[in-house]
Amino acid sequence: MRRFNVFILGVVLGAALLWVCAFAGVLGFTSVEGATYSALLLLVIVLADVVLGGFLARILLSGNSASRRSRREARGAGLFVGGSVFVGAVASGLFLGAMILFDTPASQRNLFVFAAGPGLGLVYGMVLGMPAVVGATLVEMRRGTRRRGSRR
Amino acid sequence: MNLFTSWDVLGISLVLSLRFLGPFALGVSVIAWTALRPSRADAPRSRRRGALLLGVALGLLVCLAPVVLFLATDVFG
Repeated sequence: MRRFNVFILGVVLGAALLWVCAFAGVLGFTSVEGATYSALLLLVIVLADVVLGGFLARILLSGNSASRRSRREARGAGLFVGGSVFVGAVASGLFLGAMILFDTPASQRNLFVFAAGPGLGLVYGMVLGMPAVVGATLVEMRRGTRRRGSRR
Repeated sequence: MNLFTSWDVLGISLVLSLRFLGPFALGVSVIAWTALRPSRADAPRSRRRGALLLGVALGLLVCLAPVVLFLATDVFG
């Protein structure tokens, strides 16, 4: 059940971060200062992504028993958290694709209209998933090290 | 403003954000990985320090790449 909750939280995080990035980009259109703030905001988003990825991994690994099954699940925590963020961003991209599709007359729909939203979603999934994987894997490795250290 | 008609602004802003977001994601990931990963206890101290400095320098370089490129195109372009 905890695994499912972490997956849902990761999906929500990925979806939310994509839209936050979109609005941070809009800020960059306003002025030179706006562009600077936009770049700084994007840096903060990436830092938050690393931290939240680690936080999700911590939730996933908290209270893990020493059984073989939970140890096997704990080994893939980093990729699991990053994958859920990826899925969230792709889902947001699909929604953007639907926005584009519904606003384009049927006669003008071409390959680009169909591919723009999902393509952006895939790219954002990779870009936002990578820091989350790093944050979650760091927590996973540190916990593994600590556990091994305490066993000695 | 209708939500479904605002896709053009949001889409263009997403594409333009990638210029900064991509390098930032890679740079911050490299810095976080080299600075925070648990190192082996038997690894030499000087080697650990060298790897940390290299990772942080590389990460900062990647993070600053879009800023430097913008300044360069502003000056020379």
